[in-house]
Parts: sequence; structure tokens; C-alpha cells
Amino acid sequence: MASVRIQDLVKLYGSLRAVDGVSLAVEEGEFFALLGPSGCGKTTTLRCIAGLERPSQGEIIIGAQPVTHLPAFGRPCGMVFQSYALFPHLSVFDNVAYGLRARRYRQGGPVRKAAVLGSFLSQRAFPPDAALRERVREALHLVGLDEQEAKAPGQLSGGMQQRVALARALVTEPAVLLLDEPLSNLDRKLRISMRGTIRKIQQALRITAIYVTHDQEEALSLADRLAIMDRGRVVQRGTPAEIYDRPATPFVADFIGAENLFPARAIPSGPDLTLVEAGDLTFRAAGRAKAERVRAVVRPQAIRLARAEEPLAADNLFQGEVRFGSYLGATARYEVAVKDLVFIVDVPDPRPGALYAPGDQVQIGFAAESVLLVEEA
Amino acid sequence: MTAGSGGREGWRGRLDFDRLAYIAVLAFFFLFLLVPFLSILVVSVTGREVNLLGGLLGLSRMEELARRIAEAASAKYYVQLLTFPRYFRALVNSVTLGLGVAAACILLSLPIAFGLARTRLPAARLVGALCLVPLMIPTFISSFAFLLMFGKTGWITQIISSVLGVQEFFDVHSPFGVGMVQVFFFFPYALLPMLAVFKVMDPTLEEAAHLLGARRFFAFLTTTLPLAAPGIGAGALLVFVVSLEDFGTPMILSPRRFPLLIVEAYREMVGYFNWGGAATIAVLLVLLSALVLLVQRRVLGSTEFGTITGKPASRELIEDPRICTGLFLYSLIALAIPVMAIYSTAVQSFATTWGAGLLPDGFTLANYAYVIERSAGAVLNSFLLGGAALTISLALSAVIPYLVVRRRKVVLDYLGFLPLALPGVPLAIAMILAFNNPPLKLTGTALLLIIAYVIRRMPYALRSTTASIRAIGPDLEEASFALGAPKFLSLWGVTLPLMLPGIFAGAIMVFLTSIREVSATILLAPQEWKPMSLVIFEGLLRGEFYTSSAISMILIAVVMTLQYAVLRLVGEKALF
Repeated sequence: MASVRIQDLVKLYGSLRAVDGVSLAVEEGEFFALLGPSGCGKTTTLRCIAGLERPSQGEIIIGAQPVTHLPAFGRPCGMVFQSYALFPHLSVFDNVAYGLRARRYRQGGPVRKAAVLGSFLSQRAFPPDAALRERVREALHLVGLDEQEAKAPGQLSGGMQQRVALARALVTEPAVLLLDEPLSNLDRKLRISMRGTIRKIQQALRITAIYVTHDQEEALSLADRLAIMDRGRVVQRGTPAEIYDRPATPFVADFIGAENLFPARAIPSGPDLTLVEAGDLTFRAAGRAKAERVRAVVRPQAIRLARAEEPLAADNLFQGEVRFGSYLGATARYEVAVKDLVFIVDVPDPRPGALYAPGDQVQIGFAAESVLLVEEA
Repeated sequence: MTAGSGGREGWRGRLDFDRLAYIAVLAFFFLFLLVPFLSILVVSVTGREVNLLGGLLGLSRMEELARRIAEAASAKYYVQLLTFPRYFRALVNSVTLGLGVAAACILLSLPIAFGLARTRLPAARLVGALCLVPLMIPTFISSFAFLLMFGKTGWITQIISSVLGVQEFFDVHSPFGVGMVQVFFFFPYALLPMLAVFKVMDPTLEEAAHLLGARRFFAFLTTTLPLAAPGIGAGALLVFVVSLEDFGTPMILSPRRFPLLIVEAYREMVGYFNWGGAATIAVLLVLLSALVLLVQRRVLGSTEFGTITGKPASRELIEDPRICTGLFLYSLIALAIPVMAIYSTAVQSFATTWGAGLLPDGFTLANYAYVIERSAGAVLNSFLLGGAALTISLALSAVIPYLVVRRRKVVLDYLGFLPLALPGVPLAIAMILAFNNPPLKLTGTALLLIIAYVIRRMPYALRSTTASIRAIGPDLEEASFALGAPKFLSLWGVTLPLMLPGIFAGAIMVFLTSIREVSATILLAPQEWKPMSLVIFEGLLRGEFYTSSAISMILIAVVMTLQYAVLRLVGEKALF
């Protein structure tokens, strides 16, 4: 187990700055997520850590050792690829054993090297020894894949392939586990269950993990801490709660899933109150804004919805009209037009008999505390 | 952890495996591709022998070489090309023949390609397989088979003249005869790209034309055909080059009054020892082929072929029985000629004597007994030479595509495909001129012939290997690195095993094209290393038809078996 420090990492592709001065410190045993839209440089950062890309500038230190100038095979990293990258010509066993054999090849003398090369030609002539078998079985057991070792990767389901990739990355007991969008090829249900598996294994082994994803829900639910990247830079880092509650920029707020994000003017009004002018609307927000030009965020689940004639009390209360509704089972989501703004409103546990229809006259209410003000960059 | 051990394996400034391989391959290309080509260029302006390699040995020798070249340099031979009537006629004839054969091949294969790609053709698999047969038979054998069928005493000629009462319905020993052989044996070169475009073409466009009220034939003419134009054009250009390069057919069938460039180059070299003239024609042939292939790549490039191949779109095949049956019968008639050619050669090889009629006067194994007794050595030579070429190709076609695809050494990609523009005769002339003197005196050795085979067929070997390495995602190799495997182990454990089917297929292609090759062979093969292709060729020129047929059948059997192995390994894409 080791910490990972990245200092001023820059990666240029021609004139494109794919990674533009990224600095990160990942603690020992921490689950760290790199979150961002595609093309933000998160995968390139991960590949630089793995040694698959040469950084143009900057320093990468794993534990106490600078690894910037080590090739990929010299680094103490295990990696799980988005495509799994299982070797199609090798069995599950040989896929998992690959890293162990590679280490023997690297560290062994000529005889050991020859034996490793030979094992790729004939398993019969160079059978795996007991120690190797034991390690591979342990790794497969860890991911819940006993009894599958003789199969070819192609015979396994997507979820099982994912587990083989994980076992393969873990078998050498790397100091750092790197995961590049490992769940993006799975269906939603499997994704959520694999999420749990990965987290449990990471905690059981206390291994440092760096996890790249573009799925904010995945990052928030898995990571101890995360960094949000945009156009090659880290725009915010912190715990999931910090980032969700206090997005530092409109970009983060938008990316983290703020549906109602309005450009607004903040007017200080008392010690702990701000008046917010957004479009033709004015509403109250708790706290004081640091700047005048802001984005006002109101989360869909923080807004209450009622028919126009029903009583509703809130700091901010507006009349509006339902434009569009969609029933999602656990929630119902509505678009409500209020003057020139459109609010997204989530109603939890909706009763099928009491759904709103487009054209219904309604009122929305939300507390001053639920309004987040994010300064414009 | 393992990080400590990695520290010694920094990636800068080391002469690692990749770099060594790159240097070795570049040296090979320099020596056996660049130097020979420069040699014919220099000889074509000096008209006398120059030792380019020798000139590299020292400054004084280089000066001497430069002086000799400067002394003798003149455009004399190039002027002769236009002013000597025989040369000029050869140029015109070669181009005319190529154009005619290309046009005829398009017409012949268009209905077959459409039938295979777009209709529910009866026995489509059989038709498809038969379309590959002509590519397997060397043209000197197919020309000979044409003589057996359509010659003055050919069995088809006999049958037709007895039915129709005409003496001779066409003269095989004529430009027309040469053209006929080339059309019926080269049309798959036009058919395969055509088939590819018909298969990837979006059928909804045609359906849209139908919905707009176009009748089927009108829709074909106005929608399908224009969309298929790049594939058709590419195929036609390929046929042109193949016709230009073809040595076997004109040597067997072309009359004296119909000179062709490839034959003239050979005659200047062997008959008149006119090195300048031979080199000049060789340069012309190379430039002509290169130009046409360049255009062909452009034409093909404009349709983005590569990206479409993996995804066979599901489509409605035309089921109209009149169309299907019609196209089927047409295909059978077109394919009957190559099939009958093999039949004729086979019957001849078992015949005591064969004059008129479908069957000979009697059957015997004596021809084979004679061949085994007299020419077993030639068969062995073929296998040894082809096997040596296969071995070298195996190494090259494992390394080059790897360097091109993974290490972005694009130069090697261009160099590897240059030999496409090197017809056998010019290549052999270039080899002889380049390696006739120390420090590398290889002329007259089997090694030079083997290298000529390797160089000439390199594009075929590379194509199949490059395709298979491109199909391997780069993430597999990266996964190997990330798992701690150094470069060599990654290559050995992951990349190489995945490339193997492609490499083997390519190498087998080299073997089987080498053993049926005759144009470079006739110039380069030492007497004691004569392979069976050359023995057949010389036998045919001497009129030993029965025994030549027997060796031909052995050759055809070997080629077909191996071709089947290639198809099983990688599918049809490695064929041309």
C-alpha cells in the first residue's frame, strides 16, 4: 500500500494540452475517484500513473519512489481496463497468472526466464507450480470466481469478465489499483452490484485505488475523495459530500447533477440572507454570496410541489404551470414553468392517482437554505 | 513491491528489441529493395555495369563510381524506347492489352459479383469457391491448357469443328489468345473488390430508387453502379497491373509479331545481353505499375474500405428466380473455362495420347512415373526455395506489421508495399545488376532467388499479418505492460500468439506464390536449383506436353491444398 502524489502533471498531444497541470495527493488506502466528462484528461492522468503514457512535464511519486521515468512494467500498479483487455488466447487461470509469471520473468535468471517463456508454449511441459496455483485461486476466490479457471474469457459473461480483470490486477498485490471506467460496459443492475464488490475488496485489502469515471453517481457512492476534472485541469477536490453540497464552480454544479442552475445576480440583504434575481424571479437564499454574478442552484428534490389551490408554506413560493411530466417509479419528475424560468421538480414516492398533467396550475416552494450560490468563474 | 527492480529498466537510450528489429528491417529494405532499384536506374542511363554496393565501401571507390556514372550517362536508352519500333510497339501493345483485359474482366465479373452479393444465388458457396480457382493456377499452365482446349488440335476445337464444320474458330497463338487467357484467369482480381463494395453498399439507397418508381434495371444503372464505381475502378486497375506483369501467358502464346514489354525486357537481358535496354524497360515497367497502383490506392481510399468490412449489414437478397437462375448459369459458363483448363491438364497428364474428343486414347501413369524419376529434384527444390522464402517472410511479417501498427514506423508500411510495383522480370534484372560484384556477389546463387521471392511477395504476407495485428486492440499489450511484463515477454506472451494465424497465412501465401512463380525464377534460378515451375515452363517451351502436365498437376495440387489452409486460417481477405 502506498500513497500516490502527482505534481504539476502535463501531457501534450501536439498542441493539445490533454492534461494541464494536475496535482493530486492520494492517501494510503484511500479510494480516490477522478470524475469528469469525456476528454477532460482523467483517463490520460490515470495512464500516466500506470506508465502507459509519458508525461510531458511533472512528477509522479508512488510511496516514496518517483516513478515518472519508469516504464509501465516497472511500476507497482495493477490496472483494470475499460475493455477489460483480457487475453483472448489464454484461459482465465493464465490471465490471472500472467502478472505473477511476468514478475518471475523480470526477476528471475535465464533459467527462470526460459521457463516463463516456455509456459506460454506448453502448459504440459511447464506446469504451474503449487505456489502460483494457490495465488491464482486466492485471487479468483476473492472476486467470487471459483471453478472458472479453465474457461476462456470469451465463454464468460460481461460481469464475470470484469471480475477476472479485477483478479488479474490484484493477484500481484500491487501498491495501487488503477481502474479506468471499469463498469461502463455493464448494464445498470450489474454495475451497481459490481460497485459494491469493488468497494468491499478495496476495503478488505486496504489498497490505494484510483478510479476514473464519467458517472457522478458512481464516483459519489464509491470514493472516499474525488477530484473533478475539466479540460485537463482539476476544478475541485474533496469528499463526495463537500462537492455535492458546495460545488466550487458552475461546471461542477452542473456536472454533479444540479438540474436547476440559473444565472443570477446576488444582492446582499442582511447578515445571513441574500436576494437572488434570476430572470424575472427574485428569491431568498441563506448565507452571503462572495460575488454579484452567481449561479443559483436548487436541487429538484428540494422543491415541493402542490396544486395552486392547496396550502403550501416556504421561504420562496411561486405560481407556475406544469409543462411536462414523467413517471419514474420511485419519483415523478416535472418541468414547471414559472415566469421565464423552468424548474425541474422531483416528487418522491408519487401516488399514481395523484400525478400532475401538463397544463395543471401548480405552486412550488423551497427553503432559503436549499438555494446554493456558486460564483461565476 | 516490484518497483525497485523496474528502476534499472528505464526506457530512454536503450538499444531495445524494437529498435534492433527496426534497424535490421531497414537494412534489409535498403539492401534488397533500394539498391536493386537504384541499380537499374543507373544502368538505364549508363548502359553498363555499375557496382553501387562496392561504391559504398570507401571514399575512393565512391569517387570512381561517380566518375564512371558521369562518363557514361546519357538518355540514349530512353530515347530508344520511343524511337525503336519494336520497343515502342511493345509499350503500345502492353498498355492496349492491359486496358482491354481490364475492361473485359469488369464485364465478365460484374454479373457474378452482383449475383454473389445481392441475390439468392443457387450454390453461392460453390460459385464463390470456384471464383478463387483461377488465381491459383500459374498463367503458363493456364496458357498451356488453352492450347489443349482451343489449339489447332485442341479437344474443344475438334468438337466444335465437327459440329459446326469450321476449321478453326480462333487462333490461340495471337494477341486475342493472350487476352482470353488473362481475362479468364485474372477476372477474380476485378471481382473481389467489386464483391466487397456490393456487400457494404447500403441497400436502402436502391430501395429508395425503387420507391421513387425506378424499375430494377434502371435502379441498378442509376444507383448501384455509380456507387460501386470505386470498387470497379480499383479492380480494373489491379487487373491492368497484373496483365502488365504477366510473363507466362505471352511467353507461351504471344506471337513474335506482338511484342510485349515484359517479354522484351527478358529478351534484352537473356537474348542480347543488352543491359541498358533491359534496365530501361524494367524501369518503365516499374514506373507504370507504380503509377497505376498509386491511382488504385487513391480510388480505393476514397471509399473508406477498411472501416466497413467488419459489419455485414443484414439485407434482403433478391429472390426473383429468373434473375438468380440467369446469373447462376452465367457464372457457371464463365467459371467453366478455368475448370476445364484444370480438367484438360489433368486428362493430359494421365493420357497416353490425346487428340480429339472429350477423352484421350488411353490412360497411363507413365507420365507421372517419368516425372518422379526425372524431376523429383525439381519438386524438392521448389519446396526448399519456397520453404526458405517462407521462413524469411515469417520473421519479416511478424516484425514489420508490429513496428508499423504499434510503434508507428510508417516508413516500413510504404517500403513493405513498394514491391507490389515490382514485376518479376524487372525485379530479377535489378537483383542481377545489383549483386553481380563483390562485396555481395549473389548473382547465380539460390539465396538471391529466395530473396527475390520474399521481396516480391512481401505485400501479400504483410497484408494478412497487418490485418490480424490491427484486429488486436492496443489495450491487450498495455494490459501486459501494466501487469509487469517487459516488452519482449509482452510480445511473446500476448501479441505474437494473437498474430500467429495471420502470420502463418501470409507466409503460406509467400510459399505458394513462390512455387508457382516463373518470371523471376527463369532469370535467377541456378541450374542445380531449378524448381518445378521452371521445369514445367521449359518443358512446355520444348513441347513436352504430357510430362509437363503431370508436374503441373503436382504443382496445382500443392497450391490448392495450401490455399485451402490459408482460407481456413484467415478467410478470403488474404487472397490478393
